[in-house]
Amino acid sequence: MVKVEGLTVRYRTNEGYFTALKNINLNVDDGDILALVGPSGCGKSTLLHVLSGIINTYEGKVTINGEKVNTKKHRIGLVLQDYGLLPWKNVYENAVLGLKVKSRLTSDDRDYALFILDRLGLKEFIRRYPQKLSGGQRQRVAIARALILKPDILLMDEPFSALDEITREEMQELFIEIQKEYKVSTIFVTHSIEEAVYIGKKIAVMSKSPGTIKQIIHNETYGLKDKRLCREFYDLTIKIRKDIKEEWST
Amino acid sequence: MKFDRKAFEYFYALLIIFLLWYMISQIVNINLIPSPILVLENLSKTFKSKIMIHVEYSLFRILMGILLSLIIGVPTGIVMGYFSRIDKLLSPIVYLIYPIPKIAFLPIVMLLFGLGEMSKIFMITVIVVFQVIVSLRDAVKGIPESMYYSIYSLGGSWFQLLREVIIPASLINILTSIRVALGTAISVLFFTETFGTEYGIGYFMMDSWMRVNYLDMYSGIIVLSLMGIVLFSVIDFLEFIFCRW
Repeated sequence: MVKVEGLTVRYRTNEGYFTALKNINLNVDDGDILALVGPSGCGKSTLLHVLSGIINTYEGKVTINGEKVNTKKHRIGLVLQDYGLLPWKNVYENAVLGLKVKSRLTSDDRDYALFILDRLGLKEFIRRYPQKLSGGQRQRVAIARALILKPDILLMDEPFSALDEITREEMQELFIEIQKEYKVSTIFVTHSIEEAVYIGKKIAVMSKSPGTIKQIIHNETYGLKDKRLCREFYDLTIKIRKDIKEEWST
Repeated sequence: MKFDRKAFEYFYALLIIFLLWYMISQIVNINLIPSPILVLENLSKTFKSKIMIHVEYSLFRILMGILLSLIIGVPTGIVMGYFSRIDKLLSPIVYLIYPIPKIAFLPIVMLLFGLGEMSKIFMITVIVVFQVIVSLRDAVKGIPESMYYSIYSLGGSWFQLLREVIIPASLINILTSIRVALGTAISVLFFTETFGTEYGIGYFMMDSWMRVNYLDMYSGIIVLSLMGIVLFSVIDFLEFIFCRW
């Protein structure tokens, strides 16, 4: 379980302090997906950086399974918009990077890595370098890397927004499948309301900067098959859109 | 495949240069510009007996000078590139010393390190090291922050960050800095070899010149440029091996 209580993050800039996040309260139950949706610059990425231990100076409490976030102790899977792959490592080397940093690779680890890579349809590419892959393939490598780590929490920062529409929908579907299979607690950041409704079990809607949580919605459409063909999906999307229309546009 | 092509390019360049040289030598027809055919003939006759030893000395000095520059320059550049506080502290010093023509310190270097190998290697190092520092620092500064994120979030140590990200990311710049350094090192080498030594390709050329042995002098020039080609090719090869991606 991931718990965020009273989180406030301030940056120091040349003109003094800038509040990026204000009094954020959230929790993600084990195996759930929380979709975090908000306008650009609202501090979504900042929130992920706090959860992934990249930002360490903040007010409030952020815990994973009851303990303060600790990058050494917790296994944090991070999937970034620009994939975060290292161009000098091939697909396999990138995929096992997480494990390698954590500890020595065992032969079980290697088998598991190959299994996951295969599951994500990357088996034939394991010797390729990221530059020779398409955007969708790169993002699958990034997801594979996070899964291979067997993470306590999976953090995804607009993972599909650099992909073309068809690839994006494929990836969303693949991700939902994989997430169901492996039951990883996930926080999925996006600026697309539609994507949030498509992916999240809970949807947290953020305000403009300084980022606060406006509302948390339990997504009734979670788990529906062929969601894009269901009326409920569009109804919820429209409802959220209406709620935030004024808020985001001003 | 790639290297066959390179070899062909070099061959082509050599052919053109020799052709031009030959034409000029035929037109002016003076001792100072002998025909390349005579020079090559002289080179093949005297390389083993006369020139080889000088090549060995010169290569040793260049390689030692570059090696020392890398040993000092790479860590300094990386630390300056990664820790902006250290950069703020060291940059002014580097910028102040970098443009000084260090060759001006030659008399002092000779007094401190003697006339032998030390002063020559030191001279190369002290000139080349700044190029290495500055290019490494800029390379590390240019690594996008997001490349570090995955290592940060995995709780990786600084050493792991260095091994997995910083060094591979700047490897190509390390090689480029050696390439730049090499050109400088060879010209510095030539200068330092004109005093206090009886070995080295620079000495060999100056000595031949004073003895009005132009065939030897031109042989020396050819050898020096071949040394350059060989060293550059080694770096190209290293890049081919280590920077496959």
